[in-house]
Amino acid sequence: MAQDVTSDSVLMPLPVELLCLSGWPPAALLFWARIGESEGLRDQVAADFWSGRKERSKQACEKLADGLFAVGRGEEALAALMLAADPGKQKTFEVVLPQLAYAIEHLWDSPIVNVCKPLALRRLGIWWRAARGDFKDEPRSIFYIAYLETRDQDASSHEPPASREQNKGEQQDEPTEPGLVVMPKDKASALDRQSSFKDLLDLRLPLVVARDLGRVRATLMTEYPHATTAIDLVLRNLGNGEPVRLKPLLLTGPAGVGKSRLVRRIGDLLGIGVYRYDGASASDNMFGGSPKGWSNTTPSAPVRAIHQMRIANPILMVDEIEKAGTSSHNGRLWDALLPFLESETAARYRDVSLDVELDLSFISYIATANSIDALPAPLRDRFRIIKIPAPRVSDLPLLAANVLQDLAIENGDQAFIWPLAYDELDLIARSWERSGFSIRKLQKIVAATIEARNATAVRH
Amino acid sequence: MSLVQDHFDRVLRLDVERYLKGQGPRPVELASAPLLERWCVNLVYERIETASSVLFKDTMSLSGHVAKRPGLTDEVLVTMTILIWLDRNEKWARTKHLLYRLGSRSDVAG
Repeated sequence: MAQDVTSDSVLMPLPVELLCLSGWPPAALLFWARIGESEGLRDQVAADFWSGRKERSKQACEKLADGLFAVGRGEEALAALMLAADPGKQKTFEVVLPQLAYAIEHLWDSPIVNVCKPLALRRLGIWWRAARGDFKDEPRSIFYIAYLETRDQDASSHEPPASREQNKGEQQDEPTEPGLVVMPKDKASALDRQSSFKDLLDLRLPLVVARDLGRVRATLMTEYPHATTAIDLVLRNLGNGEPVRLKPLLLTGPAGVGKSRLVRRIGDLLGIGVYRYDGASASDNMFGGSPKGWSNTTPSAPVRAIHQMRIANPILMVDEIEKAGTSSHNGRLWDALLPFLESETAARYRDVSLDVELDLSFISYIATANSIDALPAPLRDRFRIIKIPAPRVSDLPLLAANVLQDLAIENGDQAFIWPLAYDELDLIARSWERSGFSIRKLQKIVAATIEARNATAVRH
Repeated sequence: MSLVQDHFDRVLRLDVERYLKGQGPRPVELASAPLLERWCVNLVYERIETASSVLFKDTMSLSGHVAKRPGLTDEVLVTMTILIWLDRNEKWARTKHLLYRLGSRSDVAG
């Protein structure tokens, strides 16, 4: 399993990922997560790297570059030099920019790099300008400058230009975006004309297509450094340009490691709505809908998800699936779920409420559970079970920085966040350890630290 | 593309791939590399002519003085060799065609 993960990351060289990020802090975080702990390099420079002082962290980066070159990790070393690049000192670009430009142009050409290449090259253009001294007096980092300078172009070029060109040819009638008719008319003769779901009839719903998976992965990796393996397992079934469709997944791990939030973030980053079905409050088989004969009949949860999101491939999250009621008197959630998890059955699913046949095969099911011991075997077999481990102390710098960023956004101050100092991190680590490495606890601890810092800060 | 050019490109590619694996130039390569004295780095535009248009690409160039023959003092000015990889300790540099050992740095060309 570990082998797979490393071969995946080879596809996307770290320097290219860094180029696509929007500031020094996220770039530093990703870098920090990717270099890992293997060589003990991080421990030597952690204090300087995260010191928040330009010179100190620059020296730390250079030291890291030396260490990484020495152990044969040239790409990461190059990334370290990128982090040391300073628009105020043009010389810092000489040791990184020519090789970076050459490698992007001639060496790195895997499919996943090619997706990010246009953006990377635009950003690289700004780096060249910085090397010329165009931003000599800028206090901001080159990552942020490059982001700001290319932002307008990024927004306008977001839609894929290729699909329009294709359309000029003989495929005039083909719709440009992939789509799916979830409720074909010929199989819906029994549909109640009063039903509010009749607007789905013969309607071609869009299928959301996965784009920029490299960036999705990079973003998730920085946000969940403890769950890198899980993220790779989730994302590896997706292909750039293909509709998002995941095999049923079951994320399991201790309470508070951020399972539900991870599912939401995956949905956000892929541009897909996540429909949440609460397992803890489900003590019947309403997931599958209630039969047509009942006066207030409800269709199954997947149909409701499609109806609400207006896409054919939403993500359906069954939260806390192990807490569902186990009495079989009114049916159980676990049994109601089963038919949806087989893609053949789901492609021709007859909804008991609407009494029509539906194609639900593109819905992705992700369940979360604190433990899977109670789940019946047939259900366990149908889900792919992915463990999300609790974070470790070594993940703290990244996680704390994420929390810090969230706090800053909450306070409406996105521009710059003063990083946590080493002694602050140390303090946080200690109280976090006491509270059992839960992300929820970490949020509270970091907030309290910042409050304490603000209260004791020297003002002038 | 000429055969010679093709060969240069292939060697360059192999070299950069090796540098990216963390291996610098081999000692024997370095020993036989010309020594570039009073060198400097400039930002230039490389002119690339294609069939239909002329492109200008951002590049860095390495300039400096190289002894015409090893051990002799008569030097020639080398300019406009396109820099591909500058060692961060400024001991060596790989340009598009050659590997140089680096001597003293001067920030004004000439």
